[in-house]
Amino acid sequence: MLALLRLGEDAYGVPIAQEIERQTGREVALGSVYAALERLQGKGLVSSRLGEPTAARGGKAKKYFRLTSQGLREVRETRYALMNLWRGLRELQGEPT
Amino acid sequence: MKSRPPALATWLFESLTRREHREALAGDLLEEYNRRRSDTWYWRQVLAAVVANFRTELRSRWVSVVFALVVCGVIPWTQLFLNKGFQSFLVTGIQLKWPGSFLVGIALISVVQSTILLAALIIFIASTNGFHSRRFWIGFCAALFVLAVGNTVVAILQVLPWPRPFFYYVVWRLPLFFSLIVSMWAASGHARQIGASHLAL
Repeated sequence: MLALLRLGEDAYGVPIAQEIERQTGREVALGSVYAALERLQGKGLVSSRLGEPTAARGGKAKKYFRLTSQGLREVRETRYALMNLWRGLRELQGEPT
Repeated sequence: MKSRPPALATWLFESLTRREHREALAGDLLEEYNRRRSDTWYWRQVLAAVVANFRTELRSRWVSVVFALVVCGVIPWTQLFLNKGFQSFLVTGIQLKWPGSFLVGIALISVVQSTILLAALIIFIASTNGFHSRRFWIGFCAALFVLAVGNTVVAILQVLPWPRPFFYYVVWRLPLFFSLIVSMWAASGHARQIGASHLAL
């Protein structure tokens, strides 16, 4: 969901996987990205629209994803909850060694 | 433009993934493959997509999974396949040399299990609203293939030192379990139509 926010209007399978790889340093399977997006879509947190088919993709259309207002609210709430959990942990203060 | 991706991998991808995101995902795979990736990368992505798809199917078709578990659990396997008559027929009744005797033995077990499979499949279909005749036969044929391959693998694995209860209660039942899953998923309609409310068991 954060990758969708970062990519904005250009969020389809390939850049989403690349963004996750860039941020986490791990290779992500495109199939897993779509499986996760499908679940999020089922929960109403993400919506999708089809783009135009291109020759570089064998005539297959891109599917663009974006967060719904419910999805954005969910991200905000999760961020708030995580920040509360991180706050005040003395052991984690300072630079990583 | 690079050469085409491996045809077998593409066929597997198109056969074993759901229609919902298939076109977009196929386009993404091709775009990345043409950009910089290798055949190995393509195969890895296809297998990952198939596994991810299977997990999604398991989640959305949990009723059929529970049904398959119940069927495999209630069948008296030991009485059916370890009874003296059946075992002595397998050992002495088949007048063929190895591997003929081995293969006929597996075929016999597969025939008995395919009868159970067909009965279970009919009960499942009668209890749901998702019957599709052409897919039923495709699913049944695919299930027979899974059953035959699975029983061959299990027969070979039998030589390993498994704990006996684990072998009889888990390993031995896996071919029928997976073949039932394959046939039910193929014979029924769209995954989301098969929910608990449609199963009147």
